[in-house]
Amino acid sequence: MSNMVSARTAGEKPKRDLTLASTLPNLTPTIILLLLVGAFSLLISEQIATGWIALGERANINRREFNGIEIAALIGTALWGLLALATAFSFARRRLTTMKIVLADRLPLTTPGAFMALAFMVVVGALSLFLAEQVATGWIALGERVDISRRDLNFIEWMAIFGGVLWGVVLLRTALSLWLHDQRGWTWTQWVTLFTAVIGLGLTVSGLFDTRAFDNAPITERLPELQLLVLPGIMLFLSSIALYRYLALDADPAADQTLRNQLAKIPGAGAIIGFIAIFIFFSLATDQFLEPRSLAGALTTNVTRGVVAIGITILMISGEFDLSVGSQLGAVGLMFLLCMTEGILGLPPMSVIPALMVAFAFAALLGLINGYILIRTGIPSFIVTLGTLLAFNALPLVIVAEGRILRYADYRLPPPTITLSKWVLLVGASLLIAGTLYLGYRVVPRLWGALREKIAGYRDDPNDLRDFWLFAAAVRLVVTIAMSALVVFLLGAAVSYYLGLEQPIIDVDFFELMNGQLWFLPVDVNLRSSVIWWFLLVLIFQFILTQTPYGGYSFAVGGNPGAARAQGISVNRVKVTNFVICSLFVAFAAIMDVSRVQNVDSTRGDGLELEVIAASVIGGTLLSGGYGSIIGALLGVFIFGMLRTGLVLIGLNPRIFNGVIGIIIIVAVVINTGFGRTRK
Amino acid sequence: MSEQTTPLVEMRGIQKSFGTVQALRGIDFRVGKQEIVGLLGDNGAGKSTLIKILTGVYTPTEGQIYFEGEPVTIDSPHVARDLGIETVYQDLALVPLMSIARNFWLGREIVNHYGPLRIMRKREMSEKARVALREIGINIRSADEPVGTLSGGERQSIAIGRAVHFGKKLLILDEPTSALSVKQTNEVLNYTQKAKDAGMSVIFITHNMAHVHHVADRFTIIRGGRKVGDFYKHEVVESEVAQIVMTGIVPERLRLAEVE
Repeated sequence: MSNMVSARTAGEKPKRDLTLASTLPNLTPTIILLLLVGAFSLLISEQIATGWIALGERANINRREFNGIEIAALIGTALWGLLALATAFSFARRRLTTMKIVLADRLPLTTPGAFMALAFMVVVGALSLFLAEQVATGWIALGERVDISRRDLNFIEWMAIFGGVLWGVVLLRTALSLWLHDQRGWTWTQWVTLFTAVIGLGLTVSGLFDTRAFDNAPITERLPELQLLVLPGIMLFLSSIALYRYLALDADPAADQTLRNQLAKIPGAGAIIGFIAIFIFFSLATDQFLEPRSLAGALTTNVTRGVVAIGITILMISGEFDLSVGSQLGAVGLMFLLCMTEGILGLPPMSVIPALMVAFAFAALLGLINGYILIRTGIPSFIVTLGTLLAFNALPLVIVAEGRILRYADYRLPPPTITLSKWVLLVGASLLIAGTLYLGYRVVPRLWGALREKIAGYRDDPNDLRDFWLFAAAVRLVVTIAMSALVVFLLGAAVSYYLGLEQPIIDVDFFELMNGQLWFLPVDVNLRSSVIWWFLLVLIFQFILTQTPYGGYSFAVGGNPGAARAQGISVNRVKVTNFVICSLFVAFAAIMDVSRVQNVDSTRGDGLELEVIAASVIGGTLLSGGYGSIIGALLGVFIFGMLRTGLVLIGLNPRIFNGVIGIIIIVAVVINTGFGRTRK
Repeated sequence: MSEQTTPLVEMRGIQKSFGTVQALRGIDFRVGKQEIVGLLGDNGAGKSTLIKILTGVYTPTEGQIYFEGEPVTIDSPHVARDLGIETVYQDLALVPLMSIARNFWLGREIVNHYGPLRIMRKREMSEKARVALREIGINIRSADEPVGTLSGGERQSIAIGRAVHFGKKLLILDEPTSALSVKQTNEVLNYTQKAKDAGMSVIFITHNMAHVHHVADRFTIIRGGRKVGDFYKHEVVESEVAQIVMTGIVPERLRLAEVE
């Protein structure tokens, strides 16, 4: 009985006329945050005034004289502190109007809280643009600048300019929609504020973690540089959290108005937030992270995980999972290498294409075994695949004795090549070009139409994130055109290159094809062709999962097998198919792995199963099935890769990696469950 | 009225044993065209077993099923589905994490064919689902919302709406109202009536008399694997039916009607 009563009180909508809000929820945390902001801001102002914090170029002026930057900072922080204190006092006297009402009733934006939010957007937006300008004109130098002149910007600086301009524009656009009392701006403002909080947190933590902090220099020498990251970081973080709390007051959780509801619609929202936060953190914490070679290395070393994670995600969506992927990777890789070197079942060594067919068929068989045992016995997939984890691993253990490594190079064979006639290549490439052009012809007008529709309907679009969706529609169109053009260009270039060759037969080195260094990149940027295959597979299977009926059946089978069955879907067939698909991805990963290291030993793939399941779960896929995305799994693998690279770069012991990943998994699942509760 | 025409479904002499346990001891059950039949009985009376035989989950030990006058063998859920029998289970109707539109079209997606590749026309699917549901009187904000955000009553309604839209002949509602509030129950009953108006027959399984009494045309009461009786709504009052369900004893007044 008491349950019902409380449920009813919770369900009641807050009263609309809360101009003088007496029944608002607890404001104390917001007030405390605002007081902190005020005190902190005034403290910084005082520190600048007394010369403890020095800004700008101070080479030849004494302590008592201030330069322009310092005067601006002094006045700015003082004003901001006073504003925060004033707002806190109004809140404490319950003199506030929630942002929702301000926007709906077109009240002036000078009311406490609303004014601070508007000012925050304008000030931070302008600062962001200013900093980007400073980087662009060379006044602020980032990254390694030893031997390049001022006019040449490095990669890190380009990223900083891009980020600064983007962020500045977003904040000013938000300020504009508040100024115009645009209802839709409300949720958008919450997004922006919370994201600013993440940036603030990133600045603070990375300032504390600054690489230089691990040098032996005494702390007094590092202090000014730390101040430049930590102090603004804390200010940004505290201010935006306080403002977010204010903005989210009076939100009706049922009607799509909170961030949580919006986020709940995106699978892997937790992974996106985590990815951005970790990326920002490492970019700020160390100069070396945002170098093309670090990022390329982080990608290339995670291809195996990334490809297997696609398969396991599809399988997990349909409600099962596969612990035996690691063993399968070893067994299939071994099978592939054996086929090419020693031959199997008494057959002579074969060339690469038959070996590929054997490897894929073998993998499909392993997947069928898993799936068949599962549907025949009804035993949970945890147990079935725990068994096959051990069973499949027996094969490498028996064939490759402990400690021995089966190397391709030991057999003194020529590199595996795919031999093609020029004309086969020509016909194949022409077909692919025709196919790409046809797809472009079908898809581009539709995307163009969608974009035109978004532009035409922009004024009346009720969506809170209309700017974002407009941008997304534009990006989709541009990327589609660019990708099609790139594919056509690359194929065309390849065809003209090979046609120009004298001999009629063309040899393609298979290992190079699968895992070669990309020819157009500098040597120290270790980006391999395997990364392209990986991304291609992600795109294709994300498409299959979301746009084809079969993808939908996978979700239905994982989400509610009974309902799927009642609509005529064969649950068992979907599950077995997904086991086979997962194993085929393992085969693909195994082949790329063999192409990279050109050997197999008996421990290959150990521990892979837990890593890919973890990446999948971080990416928002539910262990219980029915929900998830491949893009999420991709982000999960990115997070793995960034942490592996980044932890080394900031000078921490890389052995801490497992500990950090463990914490991240739990945090990600907690966040995703939070969103999930909104969803279910 | 339904006696003159061929009934939609007729089950004759259905028996079902599980090992030594006899769940059904020879039941005759029929549903006329455009008729709502309340199938009543206490827990363990055999309601579910009877329905599972009709939907192909179980095969009967004895007895014959006639569908539109033709003898049929329903030995798998697919057969029942192809005949036009749709069952709305309380929890098993929809996939909570998928959108309304995807649930609506599940298994019958509108697709473009690109050779072997089939790609869904998602926008068309949401739009048509929204329109189809509105025609039955179910108003939803957007068909792209996940079903999980809906209340239990709305979920049942959408499952019923789906069955109506796809021109099913027989709708079986298995305890549709047992977990619902009064308001939601009324909604479901309302849509049940609409399904009938759209030409469907409905079997409404429940052990709660009050829920079914408004909409049902006839009640079939079973107890201990046997049929206690069939009663038209105008013959009995609610309290009498409840009494029969509980005790299994048919009042003297109704004995004649029962014999038919």
